[in-house]
Amino acid sequence: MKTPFLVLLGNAILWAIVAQLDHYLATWDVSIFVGGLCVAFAALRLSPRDGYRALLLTGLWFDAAAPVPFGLHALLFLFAHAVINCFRSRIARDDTLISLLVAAIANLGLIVALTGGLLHRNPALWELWPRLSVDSLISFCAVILIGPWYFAMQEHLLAFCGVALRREARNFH
Amino acid sequence: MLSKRFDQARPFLTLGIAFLAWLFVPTVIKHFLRASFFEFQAPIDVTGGTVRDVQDYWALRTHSTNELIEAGKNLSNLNSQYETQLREYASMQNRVNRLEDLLRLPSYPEFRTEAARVVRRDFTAWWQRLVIRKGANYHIPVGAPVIFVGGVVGRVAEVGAYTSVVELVSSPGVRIAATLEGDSRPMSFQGGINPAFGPAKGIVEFVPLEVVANRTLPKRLVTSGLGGIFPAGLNLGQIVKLDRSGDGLFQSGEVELDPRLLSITEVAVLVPVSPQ
Repeated sequence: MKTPFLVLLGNAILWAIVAQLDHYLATWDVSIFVGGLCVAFAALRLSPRDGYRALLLTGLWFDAAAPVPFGLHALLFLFAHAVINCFRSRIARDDTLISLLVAAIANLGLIVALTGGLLHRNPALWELWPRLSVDSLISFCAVILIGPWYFAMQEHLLAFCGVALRREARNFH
Repeated sequence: MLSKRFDQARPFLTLGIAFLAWLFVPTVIKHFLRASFFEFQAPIDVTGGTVRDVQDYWALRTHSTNELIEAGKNLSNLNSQYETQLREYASMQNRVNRLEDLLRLPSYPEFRTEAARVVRRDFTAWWQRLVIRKGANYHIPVGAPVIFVGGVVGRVAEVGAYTSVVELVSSPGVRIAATLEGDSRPMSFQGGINPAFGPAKGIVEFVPLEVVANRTLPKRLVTSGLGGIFPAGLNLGQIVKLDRSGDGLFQSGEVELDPRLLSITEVAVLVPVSPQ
């Protein structure tokens, strides 16, 4: 039961770091989104049930800091989790490179989905795409650079608190 | 075979049930959850802001004494100028009050200025927000206008126990009643164009046909005071492009916002003295 809260703690640390990065990047009017990393870790390294719970909490955490309908991030994270769960048995999910690839694809998917959900607010759609392309590219770089540290941090945090990841990942419901 | 297919569809089924259940969760519970998560995040934001302040402090400590003496002199010059302007402002305010009494005019809404440090800037393509280090502990109300040295920053969107979130004027969906400087005809300003590596822009609509503005001859757009949120005359930006709108009755165009909005560190919240 404690696993989702520990994963939330790790995700909150990631969120805090990215929030500080975004603060400095705001000077150039670019931003980073790394929700895909949280989804990839929960979907690939945890049992489906714990991954589900962890992502629900993480999504609500992201929702509280964004002017979106409360639950939008949570819904998108859980949907991405469900998609990754469909093929997780066919990939080497302990491999960091595979995890990074899944995280990058999930991240891009989440950016597109969020854009789709918030498109109606924007008065000039043609002006939105160049900005989104730059943000997606920077986010992709961030996922690749931060990813290995993030996966290691989450694994160490869980191991430190006595949660064995291999047992967690096998624990299908 | 059927069981395997069901196993594959089970996560989506669970998600669908969870989504339906979420729709029926009372708004009060959702509001409480959001506020709880928000208050958990507030110390993280404030700590980040405080660490940056400490960094600035130690960076300033590296300046030589001569540089500090020079800065002190400049500050005292500025202070004396501001004191003179304050006296002029007070006498003008008295004249305005006397004229209002004589002509029985309704008085302008009064505001208390609350200066606040920016602890986090969150400028994405989807929204543009700031977190400031003052909240309900300084009686900041939701909807209060926020300004800075370059004009309008935005309005307070959320208030926490000791932080508030400001929705920027460049945020998509923000609409403000505006007018040209020295003019009284109302127009509509909407934020939302935020190109990467450049200042934010907005859209102005309902501009009369005879108004001419372009990059070489920009026109200043200010708040009109209509709508009751922003006082009149606050700078919004410069109109740099105008085209005839679809109906042919008005023009619409592009407004360049102050580039200092992107690196803003200090704002002033205008708190209504007697809230409606």
